[in-house]
Amino acid sequence: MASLARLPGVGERTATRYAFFLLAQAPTLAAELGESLSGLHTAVRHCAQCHNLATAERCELCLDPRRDASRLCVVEGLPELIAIERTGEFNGHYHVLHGTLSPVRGIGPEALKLPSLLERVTAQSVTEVILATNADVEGEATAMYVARLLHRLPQVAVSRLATGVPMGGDLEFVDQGTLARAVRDRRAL
Amino acid sequence: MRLADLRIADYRNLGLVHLIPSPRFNVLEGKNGQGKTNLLEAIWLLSALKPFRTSKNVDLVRFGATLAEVRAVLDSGDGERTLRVQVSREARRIWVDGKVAKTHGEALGQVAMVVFTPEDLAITKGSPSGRRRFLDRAVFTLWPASLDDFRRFQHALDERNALLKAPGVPDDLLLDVYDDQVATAGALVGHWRRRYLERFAPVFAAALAEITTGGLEGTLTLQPSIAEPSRDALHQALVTARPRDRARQSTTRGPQHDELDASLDGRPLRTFGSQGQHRAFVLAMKIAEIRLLARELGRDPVLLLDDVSSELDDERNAALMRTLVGEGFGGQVFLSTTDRRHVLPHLPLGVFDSGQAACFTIRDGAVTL
Ligand SMILES: Nc1ncnc2c1ncn2[C@@H]1O[C@H](COP(=O)(O)OP(=O)(O)OP(=O)(O)O)[C@@H](O)[C@H]1O
Ligand SMILES: [Mg+2]
Ligand SMILES: [Zn+2]
Repeated sequence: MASLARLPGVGERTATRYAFFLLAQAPTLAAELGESLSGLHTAVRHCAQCHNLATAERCELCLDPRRDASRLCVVEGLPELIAIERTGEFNGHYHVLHGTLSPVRGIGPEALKLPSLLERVTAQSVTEVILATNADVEGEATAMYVARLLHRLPQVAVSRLATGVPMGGDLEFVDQGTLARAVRDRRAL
Repeated sequence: MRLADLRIADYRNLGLVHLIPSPRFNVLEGKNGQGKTNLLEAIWLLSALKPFRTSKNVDLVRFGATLAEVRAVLDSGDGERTLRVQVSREARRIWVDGKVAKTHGEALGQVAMVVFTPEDLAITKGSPSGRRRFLDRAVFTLWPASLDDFRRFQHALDERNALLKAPGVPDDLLLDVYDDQVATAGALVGHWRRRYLERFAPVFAAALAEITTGGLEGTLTLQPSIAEPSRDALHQALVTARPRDRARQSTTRGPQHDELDASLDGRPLRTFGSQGQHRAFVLAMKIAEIRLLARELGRDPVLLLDDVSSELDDERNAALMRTLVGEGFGGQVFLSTTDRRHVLPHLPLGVFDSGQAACFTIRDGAVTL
Protein backbone atom coordinates (compact mmCIF):
# COMPACT_ATOMS: atom_id res chain seq x y z
CA MET A 1 0.00 0.00 0.00
CA ALA A 2 2.81 2.37 0.89
CA SER A 3 4.39 1.89 -2.53
CA LEU A 4 1.07 2.45 -4.32
CA ALA A 5 0.60 5.69 -2.41
CA ARG A 6 3.88 6.93 -3.87
CA LEU A 7 2.38 7.04 -7.37
CA PRO A 8 1.34 10.51 -8.55
CA GLY A 9 -2.30 11.30 -7.85
CA VAL A 10 -2.69 8.32 -5.52
CA GLY A 11 -3.28 9.17 -1.89
CA GLU A 12 -3.41 6.81 1.05
CA ARG A 13 -7.14 6.24 0.62
CA THR A 14 -6.87 5.36 -3.06
CA ALA A 15 -3.87 3.13 -2.34
CA THR A 16 -5.93 1.25 0.22
CA ARG A 17 -8.78 0.89 -2.27
CA TYR A 18 -6.41 -0.51 -4.92
CA ALA A 19 -4.86 -2.92 -2.46
CA PHE A 20 -8.25 -4.25 -1.32
CA PHE A 21 -9.40 -4.51 -4.93
CA LEU A 22 -6.37 -6.60 -5.85
CA LEU A 23 -6.86 -8.81 -2.81
CA ALA A 24 -10.46 -9.45 -3.82
CA GLN A 25 -9.45 -10.56 -7.34
CA ALA A 26 -7.85 -13.82 -8.40
CA PRO A 27 -4.15 -13.87 -7.43
CA THR A 28 -3.21 -14.06 -11.15
CA LEU A 29 -4.07 -10.38 -11.61
CA ALA A 30 -1.62 -9.25 -8.94
CA ALA A 31 1.01 -11.59 -10.36
CA GLU A 32 0.47 -10.30 -13.90
CA LEU A 33 0.68 -6.72 -12.72
CA GLY A 34 3.86 -7.46 -10.80
CA GLU A 35 5.44 -9.09 -13.82
CA SER A 36 4.71 -6.21 -16.15
CA LEU A 37 5.89 -3.71 -13.56
CA SER A 38 9.20 -5.46 -12.95
CA GLY A 39 9.80 -5.68 -16.71
CA LEU A 40 9.04 -1.99 -17.16
CA HIS A 41 12.55 -0.67 -16.87
CA THR A 42 14.08 -3.22 -19.22
CA ALA A 43 11.31 -3.23 -21.81
CA VAL A 44 10.71 0.51 -21.98
CA ARG A 45 13.49 2.96 -22.68
CA HIS A 46 14.00 6.39 -24.14
CA CYS A 47 13.96 6.85 -27.91
CA ALA A 48 17.52 7.44 -29.13
CA GLN A 49 16.35 10.29 -31.34
CA CYS A 50 13.64 12.25 -29.49
CA HIS A 51 13.84 10.80 -25.93
CA ASN A 52 10.16 9.87 -25.92
CA LEU A 53 9.32 6.51 -24.35
CA ALA A 54 10.08 3.65 -26.72
CA THR A 55 10.07 -0.11 -26.77
CA ALA A 56 12.78 -0.19 -29.42
CA GLU A 57 15.74 1.98 -30.45
CA ARG A 58 13.31 4.54 -31.90
CA CYS A 59 9.84 5.45 -30.67
CA GLU A 60 6.65 4.90 -32.63
CA LEU A 61 6.36 8.60 -33.49
CA CYS A 62 9.86 8.78 -34.93
CA LEU A 63 9.28 5.60 -36.93
CA ASP A 64 5.95 6.74 -38.38
CA PRO A 65 6.66 7.60 -42.05
CA ARG A 66 3.52 9.77 -42.30
CA ARG A 67 4.94 12.27 -39.84
CA ASP A 68 6.77 15.36 -41.06
CA ALA A 69 10.39 15.17 -39.91
CA SER A 70 11.15 18.73 -40.94
CA ARG A 71 9.19 20.11 -37.99
CA LEU A 72 10.19 19.59 -34.37
CA CYS A 73 8.14 20.28 -31.28
CA VAL A 74 10.30 20.73 -28.17
CA VAL A 75 8.61 19.76 -24.89
CA GLU A 76 9.67 19.63 -21.25
CA GLY A 77 8.54 16.10 -20.57
CA LEU A 78 6.29 13.22 -21.51
CA PRO A 79 3.03 14.62 -20.07
CA GLU A 80 3.39 17.67 -22.32
CA LEU A 81 4.13 15.48 -25.35
CA ILE A 82 1.02 13.45 -24.65
CA ALA A 83 -1.07 16.61 -24.17
CA ILE A 84 0.00 18.04 -27.52
CA GLU A 85 -0.37 14.70 -29.31
CA ARG A 86 -3.96 14.53 -28.03
CA THR A 87 -4.86 17.80 -29.75
CA GLY A 88 -4.10 16.23 -33.15
CA GLU A 89 -2.80 19.62 -34.32
CA PHE A 90 0.79 18.60 -34.74
CA ASN A 91 2.09 16.07 -37.21
CA GLY A 92 5.84 16.57 -36.92
CA HIS A 93 8.44 15.01 -34.66
CA TYR A 94 9.11 15.75 -31.02
CA HIS A 95 12.11 16.43 -28.87
CA VAL A 96 11.75 15.77 -25.14
CA LEU A 97 14.15 17.83 -23.00
CA HIS A 98 13.40 15.92 -19.80
CA GLY A 99 13.42 19.01 -17.62
CA THR A 100 13.53 22.79 -17.51
CA LEU A 101 16.34 25.17 -16.69
CA SER A 102 16.47 26.35 -13.10
CA PRO A 103 19.67 27.47 -11.38
CA VAL A 104 17.59 27.61 -8.17
CA ARG A 105 17.11 23.86 -8.41
CA GLY A 106 20.64 23.38 -9.68
CA ILE A 107 19.50 22.44 -13.19
CA GLY A 108 21.67 23.88 -15.92
CA PRO A 109 21.72 23.36 -19.70
CA GLU A 110 23.95 20.29 -19.30
CA ALA A 111 21.13 18.47 -17.50
CA LEU A 112 18.76 18.73 -20.47
CA LYS A 113 18.72 16.85 -23.78
CA LEU A 114 20.11 19.85 -25.64
CA PRO A 115 23.17 18.55 -27.55
CA SER A 116 21.04 15.96 -29.32
CA LEU A 117 18.53 18.68 -30.24
CA LEU A 118 21.21 20.85 -31.84
CA GLU A 119 22.60 17.80 -33.59
CA ARG A 120 19.20 16.89 -34.99
CA VAL A 121 18.55 20.39 -36.23
CA THR A 122 22.00 20.62 -37.85
CA ALA A 123 22.21 17.13 -39.32
CA GLN A 124 18.62 16.59 -40.45
CA SER A 125 16.64 18.89 -42.64
CA VAL A 126 14.64 20.54 -39.87
CA THR A 127 13.09 23.81 -41.00
CA GLU A 128 10.88 24.67 -38.05
CA VAL A 129 11.22 24.24 -34.29
CA ILE A 130 8.23 24.90 -32.04
CA LEU A 131 9.10 25.53 -28.42
CA ALA A 132 6.20 24.09 -26.45
CA THR A 133 7.45 24.53 -22.92
CA ASN A 134 5.13 25.76 -20.16
CA ALA A 135 4.35 29.46 -19.73
CA ASP A 136 5.83 29.69 -16.23
CA VAL A 137 9.23 31.24 -15.45
CA GLU A 138 11.15 28.01 -15.92
CA GLY A 139 9.38 27.08 -19.13
CA GLU A 140 9.83 30.57 -20.60
CA ALA A 141 13.50 30.66 -19.61
CA THR A 142 14.06 27.28 -21.20
CA ALA A 143 12.32 28.35 -24.41
CA MET A 144 14.32 31.57 -24.58
CA TYR A 145 17.57 29.73 -23.99
CA VAL A 146 16.87 27.12 -26.65
CA ALA A 147 15.75 29.87 -29.05
CA ARG A 148 19.05 31.66 -28.57
CA LEU A 149 20.98 28.45 -29.22
CA LEU A 150 18.97 27.79 -32.37
CA HIS A 151 19.37 31.31 -33.70
CA ARG A 152 23.06 30.54 -34.12
CA LEU A 153 22.10 27.93 -36.68
CA PRO A 154 21.06 29.02 -40.16
CA GLN A 155 17.69 28.53 -41.83
CA VAL A 156 15.54 27.25 -39.03
CA ALA A 157 12.36 29.06 -37.99
CA VAL A 158 11.77 29.09 -34.25
CA SER A 159 8.33 29.67 -32.80
CA ARG A 160 6.72 29.67 -29.40
CA LEU A 161 3.25 28.49 -28.44
CA ALA A 162 0.71 31.28 -28.67
CA THR A 163 -0.71 32.63 -25.47
CA GLY A 164 -4.07 31.39 -24.53
CA VAL A 165 -2.16 29.02 -22.38
CA PRO A 166 -2.70 30.87 -19.09
CA MET A 167 0.38 32.59 -17.71
CA GLY A 168 2.01 30.28 -15.21
CA GLY A 169 -0.23 27.52 -16.52
CA ASP A 170 0.67 23.88 -16.78
CA LEU A 171 0.27 22.51 -20.29
CA GLU A 172 -0.67 19.17 -18.88
CA PHE A 173 -3.86 20.63 -17.37
CA VAL A 174 -4.86 23.10 -20.06
CA ASP A 175 -8.08 22.14 -21.81
CA GLN A 176 -7.63 20.67 -25.26
CA GLY A 177 -9.31 23.45 -27.20
CA THR A 178 -7.05 26.08 -25.70
CA LEU A 179 -3.98 23.98 -26.26
CA ALA A 180 -4.96 23.23 -29.85
CA ARG A 181 -5.38 26.95 -30.54
CA ALA A 182 -2.04 27.67 -28.88
CA VAL A 183 -0.28 25.20 -31.12
CA ARG A 184 -1.97 26.65 -34.23
CA ASP A 185 -1.29 30.28 -33.34
CA ARG A 186 2.31 29.80 -32.24
CA ARG A 187 4.45 32.91 -32.55
CA ALA A 188 7.94 33.39 -33.88
CA LEU A 189 10.76 33.93 -31.37
CA MET B 1 -17.69 42.01 2.05
CA ARG B 2 -17.95 40.34 5.44
CA LEU B 3 -17.42 36.99 7.05
CA ALA B 4 -20.85 35.61 7.91
CA ASP B 5 -19.59 32.36 9.35
CA LEU B 6 -16.14 31.22 10.42
CA ARG B 7 -14.88 27.75 11.28
CA ILE B 8 -11.34 26.91 12.28
CA ALA B 9 -9.80 23.54 13.05
CA ASP B 10 -6.34 22.87 14.46
CA TYR B 11 -4.77 26.16 13.42
CA ARG B 12 -1.85 26.87 15.80
CA ASN B 13 -3.25 26.54 19.34
CA LEU B 14 -6.89 26.77 18.20
CA GLY B 15 -8.88 23.55 18.44
CA LEU B 16 -12.35 23.62 16.92
CA VAL B 17 -13.70 27.13 16.62
CA HIS B 18 -17.05 28.18 15.21
CA LEU B 19 -18.03 31.85 15.17
CA ILE B 20 -20.92 33.80 13.76
CA PRO B 21 -19.20 37.18 13.62
CA SER B 22 -21.10 40.41 13.88
CA PRO B 23 -21.21 42.32 10.59
CA ARG B 24 -19.44 45.27 12.21
CA PHE B 25 -17.40 45.03 15.41
CA ASN B 26 -15.94 41.85 16.82
CA VAL B 27 -13.96 42.18 20.01
CA LEU B 28 -11.71 39.22 20.79
CA GLU B 29 -10.67 39.29 24.40
CA GLY B 30 -8.11 37.03 25.99
CA LYS B 31 -5.10 36.99 28.24
CA ASN B 32 -1.57 36.72 26.83
CA GLY B 33 -0.80 33.53 24.97
CA GLN B 34 -4.43 32.35 24.66
CA GLY B 35 -4.75 32.51 20.86
CA LYS B 36 -5.94 36.01 19.91
CA THR B 37 -3.26 36.59 17.31
CA ASN B 38 -3.71 33.04 16.08
CA LEU B 39 -7.40 33.67 15.49
CA LEU B 40 -6.72 36.85 13.51
CA GLU B 41 -4.05 35.02 11.59
CA ALA B 42 -6.48 32.23 10.69
CA ILE B 43 -8.82 34.85 9.24
CA TRP B 44 -5.93 36.50 7.39
CA LEU B 45 -5.08 33.17 5.78
CA LEU B 46 -8.28 33.52 3.71
CA SER B 47 -6.83 36.56 2.00
CA ALA B 48 -3.16 35.73 1.90
CA LEU B 49 -2.75 31.97 2.17
CA LYS B 50 0.20 32.73 4.40
CA PRO B 51 0.34 34.00 7.97
CA PHE B 52 1.37 37.58 8.76
CA ARG B 53 4.03 36.24 11.09
CA THR B 54 6.35 34.26 8.84
CA SER B 55 6.35 30.59 9.70
CA LYS B 56 6.82 27.19 8.22
CA ASN B 57 3.73 25.17 7.38
CA VAL B 58 4.39 22.70 10.18
CA ASP B 59 4.26 25.45 12.78
CA LEU B 60 0.77 26.43 11.64
CA VAL B 61 -0.74 23.05 12.34
CA ARG B 62 -1.73 22.38 15.94
CA PHE B 63 0.76 20.16 17.74
CA GLY B 64 -0.33 16.55 17.24
CA ALA B 65 -2.67 17.30 14.31
CA THR B 66 -1.89 16.81 10.61
CA LEU B 67 -4.13 19.40 8.96
CA ALA B 68 -5.19 22.92 9.82
CA GLU B 69 -8.29 24.28 8.18
CA VAL B 70 -10.14 27.58 7.98
CA ARG B 71 -13.55 27.91 6.35
CA ALA B 72 -15.60 31.00 5.93
CA VAL B 73 -18.84 32.03 4.36
CA LEU B 74 -18.33 35.40 2.69
CA ASP B 75 -21.25 37.72 2.27
CA SER B 76 -20.72 40.29 -0.44
CA GLY B 77 -24.16 41.83 -0.16
CA ASP B 78 -25.35 40.26 -3.40
CA GLY B 79 -24.51 36.64 -2.72
CA GLU B 80 -22.50 34.22 -0.64
CA ARG B 81 -19.32 32.34 -1.37
CA THR B 82 -17.42 29.86 0.68
CA LEU B 83 -13.68 29.93 1.07
CA ARG B 84 -11.69 27.08 2.50
CA VAL B 85 -7.98 27.02 3.22
CA GLN B 86 -6.07 23.97 4.28
CA VAL B 87 -2.54 23.81 5.60
CA SER B 88 -0.58 20.60 5.90
CA ARG B 89 3.11 20.03 6.36
CA GLU B 90 3.53 19.83 2.57
CA ALA B 91 1.12 22.33 1.14
CA ARG B 92 -1.39 25.12 1.48
CA ARG B 93 -4.50 24.83 -0.62
CA ILE B 94 -7.53 26.96 -1.21
CA TRP B 95 -11.07 26.22 -2.41
CA VAL B 96 -13.68 28.67 -3.61
CA ASP B 97 -17.25 27.40 -3.44
CA GLY B 98 -15.95 23.87 -3.06
CA LYS B 99 -13.70 23.97 -6.12
CA VAL B 100 -9.92 23.93 -5.89
CA ALA B 101 -8.69 27.36 -6.95
CA LYS B 102 -6.67 27.22 -10.17
CA THR B 103 -4.71 30.36 -9.46
CA HIS B 104 -4.11 31.81 -6.03
CA GLY B 105 -4.64 35.35 -7.29
CA GLU B 106 -8.20 34.55 -8.26
CA ALA B 107 -9.06 32.87 -4.97
CA LEU B 108 -7.34 35.30 -2.66
CA GLY B 109 -8.91 38.24 -4.42
CA GLN B 110 -12.29 37.23 -2.99
CA VAL B 111 -11.90 39.23 0.17
CA ALA B 112 -9.94 42.42 0.75
CA MET B 113 -8.34 42.48 4.20
CA VAL B 114 -6.10 44.86 6.06
CA VAL B 115 -4.22 43.77 9.17
CA PHE B 116 -2.62 46.04 11.73
CA THR B 117 -0.33 44.51 14.35
CA PRO B 118 2.07 46.01 16.87
CA GLU B 119 4.95 44.88 14.62
CA ASP B 120 3.65 47.21 11.90
CA LEU B 121 4.57 50.17 14.08
CA ALA B 122 8.17 49.47 13.10
CA ILE B 123 7.53 49.85 9.34
CA THR B 124 8.90 53.37 9.07
CA LYS B 125 11.89 52.74 11.36
CA GLY B 126 12.86 49.32 10.11
CA SER B 127 14.53 48.03 6.97
CA PRO B 128 13.49 49.00 3.42
CA SER B 129 12.21 45.47 2.89
CA GLY B 130 9.46 46.01 5.48
CA ARG B 131 8.24 49.09 3.60
CA ARG B 132 8.33 47.23 0.29
CA ARG B 133 6.33 44.44 1.88
CA PHE B 134 3.71 46.95 3.06
CA LEU B 135 3.50 48.47 -0.40
CA ASP B 136 3.36 45.18 -2.30
CA ARG B 137 0.72 43.77 -0.01
CA ALA B 138 -1.37 46.92 -0.43
CA VAL B 139 -1.02 46.66 -4.22
CA PHE B 140 -2.13 43.04 -4.10
CA THR B 141 -5.14 43.74 -1.88
CA LEU B 142 -6.38 46.41 -4.26
CA TRP B 143 -5.42 44.56 -7.48
CA PRO B 144 -5.20 40.79 -6.90
CA ALA B 145 -4.30 40.33 -10.57
CA SER B 146 -0.88 41.82 -9.75
CA LEU B 147 0.08 38.70 -7.80
CA ASP B 148 1.21 36.82 -10.86
CA ASP B 149 3.58 39.61 -11.94
CA PHE B 150 5.11 39.89 -8.48
CA ARG B 151 5.60 36.14 -8.27
CA ARG B 152 7.14 35.94 -11.72
CA PHE B 153 9.49 38.76 -10.86
CA GLN B 154 10.58 37.11 -7.60
CA HIS B 155 11.03 33.77 -9.31
CA ALA B 156 13.06 35.22 -12.20
CA LEU B 157 15.18 37.19 -9.74
CA ASP B 158 15.79 34.08 -7.63
CA GLU B 159 16.92 32.23 -10.76
CA ARG B 160 19.29 35.02 -11.76
CA ASN B 161 20.77 35.20 -8.27
CA ALA B 162 21.18 31.43 -8.11
CA LEU B 163 23.00 31.52 -11.43
CA LEU B 164 25.33 34.27 -10.18
CA LYS B 165 26.05 32.23 -7.06
CA ALA B 166 26.63 28.93 -8.82
CA PRO B 167 30.24 27.74 -8.89
CA GLY B 168 32.18 28.40 -12.09
CA VAL B 169 31.68 31.13 -14.64
CA PRO B 170 27.98 31.74 -15.30
CA ASP B 171 26.78 30.87 -18.79
CA ASP B 172 26.43 34.25 -20.55
CA LEU B 173 23.63 33.03 -22.77
CA LEU B 174 21.68 31.94 -19.70
CA LEU B 175 22.33 35.25 -17.96
CA ASP B 176 20.90 36.97 -21.06
CA VAL B 177 17.75 34.95 -20.59
CA TYR B 178 17.33 35.92 -16.93
CA ASP B 179 18.17 39.58 -17.63
CA ASP B 180 15.33 39.48 -20.09
CA GLN B 181 12.92 37.84 -17.65
CA VAL B 182 13.86 40.01 -14.66
CA ALA B 183 13.51 43.13 -16.81
CA THR B 184 10.10 42.16 -18.19
CA ALA B 185 8.60 41.18 -14.84
CA GLY B 186 10.45 43.89 -12.93
CA ALA B 187 9.04 46.64 -15.12
CA LEU B 188 5.55 45.38 -14.33
CA VAL B 189 6.31 45.41 -10.60
CA GLY B 190 7.52 49.00 -10.95
CA HIS B 191 4.32 49.97 -12.74
CA TRP B 192 2.08 48.42 -10.09
CA ARG B 193 3.94 50.21 -7.29
CA ARG B 194 3.83 53.59 -9.02
CA ARG B 195 0.21 53.22 -9.96
CA TYR B 196 -0.67 52.49 -6.34
CA LEU B 197 1.37 55.30 -4.83
CA GLU B 198 -0.18 57.87 -7.17
CA ARG B 199 -3.56 57.07 -5.68
CA PHE B 200 -2.27 56.52 -2.16
CA ALA B 201 -0.26 59.72 -1.67
CA PRO B 202 -3.10 62.25 -1.36
CA VAL B 203 -5.22 59.94 0.80
CA PHE B 204 -2.25 59.40 3.08
CA ALA B 205 -1.42 63.09 3.38
CA ALA B 206 -5.01 63.83 4.37
CA ALA B 207 -5.06 61.03 6.95
CA LEU B 208 -1.84 62.20 8.56
CA ALA B 209 -3.02 65.79 8.75
CA GLU B 210 -6.23 64.55 10.34
CA ILE B 211 -4.53 62.38 12.99
CA THR B 212 -2.13 65.10 13.98
CA THR B 213 -4.92 67.68 13.67
CA GLY B 214 -3.24 69.45 10.79
CA GLY B 215 0.12 69.63 12.48
CA LEU B 216 2.14 67.39 10.20
CA GLU B 217 2.78 67.29 6.51
CA GLY B 218 4.08 63.91 5.48
CA THR B 219 4.90 62.19 2.25
CA LEU B 220 5.70 58.66 1.15
CA THR B 221 7.59 58.57 -2.11
CA LEU B 222 9.15 55.83 -4.15
CA GLN B 223 12.91 56.09 -4.46
CA PRO B 224 13.31 53.63 -7.29
CA SER B 225 16.50 51.70 -7.92
CA ILE B 226 16.08 52.59 -11.61
CA ALA B 227 14.56 55.96 -12.34
CA GLU B 228 12.61 55.03 -15.43
CA PRO B 229 10.16 52.17 -14.93
CA SER B 230 10.47 50.75 -18.44
CA ARG B 231 11.52 47.27 -19.45
CA ASP B 232 14.31 48.63 -21.60
CA ALA B 233 15.75 50.86 -18.88
CA LEU B 234 15.75 47.97 -16.43
CA HIS B 235 17.28 45.66 -18.99
CA GLN B 236 20.02 48.17 -19.76
CA ALA B 237 20.77 48.55 -16.04
CA LEU B 238 21.05 44.78 -15.61
CA VAL B 239 23.39 44.43 -18.55
CA THR B 240 25.56 47.30 -17.33
CA ALA B 241 25.68 45.92 -13.79
CA ARG B 242 26.61 42.43 -14.90
CA PRO B 243 30.34 42.56 -14.01
CA ARG B 244 29.54 43.93 -10.57
CA ASP B 245 26.67 41.45 -10.11
CA ARG B 246 29.08 38.65 -10.96
CA ALA B 247 31.55 39.84 -8.35
CA ARG B 248 28.86 40.24 -5.67
CA GLN B 249 27.03 37.12 -6.80
CA SER B 250 23.72 38.90 -6.65
CA THR B 251 21.52 41.30 -8.61
CA THR B 252 22.37 44.83 -7.54
CA ARG B 253 19.85 46.82 -9.59
CA GLY B 254 16.09 46.51 -9.88
CA PRO B 255 12.80 46.90 -8.02
CA GLN B 256 14.04 44.62 -5.23
CA HIS B 257 16.09 47.65 -4.16
CA ASP B 258 13.34 50.25 -4.43
CA GLU B 259 13.00 52.41 -1.32
CA LEU B 260 9.83 53.92 0.05
CA ASP B 261 10.96 57.20 1.56
CA ALA B 262 9.00 58.65 4.43
CA SER B 263 9.47 62.28 5.17
CA LEU B 264 7.87 64.70 7.54
CA ASP B 265 7.75 68.40 6.80
CA GLY B 266 10.41 67.79 4.17
CA ARG B 267 12.85 65.92 6.43
CA PRO B 268 13.54 62.17 6.43
CA LEU B 269 11.41 60.57 9.11
CA ARG B 270 13.99 57.88 9.77
CA THR B 271 16.58 60.37 10.96
CA PHE B 272 14.43 63.04 12.51
CA GLY B 273 11.16 61.42 13.53
CA SER B 274 10.16 61.13 17.17
CA GLN B 275 8.59 57.97 18.53
CA GLY B 276 5.13 59.53 18.43
CA GLN B 277 5.62 60.82 14.90
CA HIS B 278 6.59 57.36 13.66
CA ARG B 279 3.42 55.95 15.16
CA ALA B 280 1.24 58.66 13.70
CA PHE B 281 2.86 58.02 10.33
CA VAL B 282 2.21 54.28 10.37
CA LEU B 283 -1.31 54.79 11.61
CA ALA B 284 -1.94 57.20 8.73
CA MET B 285 -0.52 54.63 6.29
CA LYS B 286 -2.98 52.01 7.52
CA ILE B 287 -5.93 54.38 7.54
CA ALA B 288 -5.05 55.52 4.02
CA GLU B 289 -4.79 51.93 2.83
CA ILE B 290 -8.25 51.21 4.21
CA ARG B 291 -9.83 54.35 2.72
CA LEU B 292 -8.25 53.80 -0.65
CA LEU B 293 -9.58 50.24 -0.78
CA ALA B 294 -13.05 51.39 0.18
CA ARG B 295 -12.96 54.10 -2.46
CA GLU B 296 -11.54 52.05 -5.32
CA LEU B 297 -13.38 48.79 -4.66
CA GLY B 298 -16.62 50.42 -3.67
CA ARG B 299 -16.82 48.23 -0.57
CA ASP B 300 -15.09 48.29 2.79
CA PRO B 301 -12.28 45.85 3.51
CA VAL B 302 -12.29 43.50 6.50
CA LEU B 303 -10.01 44.87 9.21
CA LEU B 304 -7.94 42.87 11.64
CA LEU B 305 -6.45 44.83 14.52
CA ASP B 306 -4.16 42.86 16.77
CA ASP B 307 -4.04 44.47 20.18
CA VAL B 308 -2.92 47.80 18.75
CA SER B 309 -4.70 49.79 21.42
CA SER B 310 -2.03 48.66 23.87
CA GLU B 311 0.69 50.11 21.66
CA LEU B 312 -0.86 53.43 20.73
CA ASP B 313 -1.26 56.33 23.13
CA ASP B 314 -4.80 57.40 24.02
CA GLU B 315 -4.97 60.13 21.44
CA ARG B 316 -3.83 57.95 18.50
CA ASN B 317 -5.99 55.11 19.65
CA ALA B 318 -8.99 57.44 19.71
CA ALA B 319 -8.08 58.64 16.20
CA LEU B 320 -7.99 55.06 14.93
CA MET B 321 -11.29 54.20 16.55
CA ARG B 322 -12.93 57.33 15.16
CA THR B 323 -11.95 56.16 11.66
CA LEU B 324 -13.53 52.76 12.21
CA VAL B 325 -16.67 53.98 13.87
CA GLY B 326 -17.20 57.11 11.77
CA GLU B 327 -19.44 57.71 8.79
CA GLY B 328 -16.77 56.88 6.22
CA PHE B 329 -16.31 53.26 7.19
CA GLY B 330 -18.88 50.51 7.52
CA GLY B 331 -16.73 47.41 7.20
CA GLN B 332 -16.29 44.42 9.43
CA VAL B 333 -13.67 44.74 12.13
CA PHE B 334 -11.99 42.12 14.31
CA LEU B 335 -10.07 43.61 17.23
CA SER B 336 -8.13 41.65 19.77
CA THR B 337 -7.44 42.98 23.23
CA THR B 338 -6.36 41.71 26.61
CA ASP B 339 -9.08 43.80 28.20
CA ARG B 340 -12.34 44.79 26.56
CA ARG B 341 -12.43 47.97 28.62
CA HIS B 342 -9.72 49.37 26.31
CA VAL B 343 -12.05 49.00 23.35
CA LEU B 344 -15.68 49.20 24.37
CA PRO B 345 -15.70 52.88 25.36
CA HIS B 346 -14.76 53.77 21.78
CA LEU B 347 -17.68 51.93 20.18
CA PRO B 348 -20.90 53.83 19.50
CA LEU B 349 -23.62 53.44 22.09
CA GLY B 350 -26.10 50.66 21.55
CA VAL B 351 -24.06 48.64 19.05
CA PHE B 352 -24.44 45.47 21.06
CA ASP B 353 -28.20 45.81 21.28
CA SER B 354 -28.52 46.37 17.54
CA GLY B 355 -26.39 43.31 16.72
CA GLN B 356 -23.63 45.51 15.33
CA ALA B 357 -21.06 44.21 17.80
CA ALA B 358 -20.09 40.94 19.42
CA CYS B 359 -17.60 40.12 22.12
CA PHE B 360 -15.77 36.80 22.14
CA THR B 361 -13.51 35.36 24.82
CA ILE B 362 -10.47 33.30 23.93
CA ARG B 363 -8.96 30.91 26.43
CA ASP B 364 -6.40 28.28 25.68
CA GLY B 365 -7.34 28.04 22.03
CA ALA B 366 -11.12 27.88 22.62
CA VAL B 367 -13.50 30.68 21.76
CA THR B 368 -16.74 31.44 23.55
CA LEU B 369 -19.30 34.17 23.11
N1 LIG C 1 1.29 24.81 16.13
C1 LIG C 1 0.89 25.10 17.40
N2 LIG C 1 0.23 24.17 18.12
C2 LIG C 1 -0.18 24.45 19.39
N3 LIG C 1 0.01 25.64 20.01
C3 LIG C 1 0.65 26.60 19.31
C4 LIG C 1 1.10 26.40 17.97
N4 LIG C 1 1.70 27.52 17.54
C5 LIG C 1 1.60 28.41 18.56
N5 LIG C 1 0.98 27.86 19.63
C6 LIG C 1 0.67 28.48 20.91
O1 LIG C 1 -0.21 29.56 20.73
C7 LIG C 1 -0.01 30.45 21.80
C8 LIG C 1 0.10 31.87 21.30
O2 LIG C 1 -1.07 32.28 20.78
P1 LIG C 1 -1.20 33.79 20.31
O3 LIG C 1 0.05 34.29 19.74
O4 LIG C 1 -2.41 33.83 19.48
O5 LIG C 1 -1.42 34.50 21.71
P2 LIG C 1 -2.13 35.85 22.00
O6 LIG C 1 -3.45 35.55 22.61
O7 LIG C 1 -2.11 36.70 20.82
O8 LIG C 1 -1.17 36.41 23.13
P3 LIG C 1 -0.54 37.88 23.36
O9 LIG C 1 -1.58 38.66 24.05
O10 LIG C 1 0.61 37.60 24.23
O11 LIG C 1 -0.16 38.41 22.02
C9 LIG C 1 1.29 30.13 22.45
O12 LIG C 1 1.02 29.61 23.70
C10 LIG C 1 1.90 29.12 21.52
O13 LIG C 1 2.65 28.17 22.21
MG1 LIG D 1 -0.90 38.32 20.23
ZN1 LIG E 1 11.40 9.23 -30.96
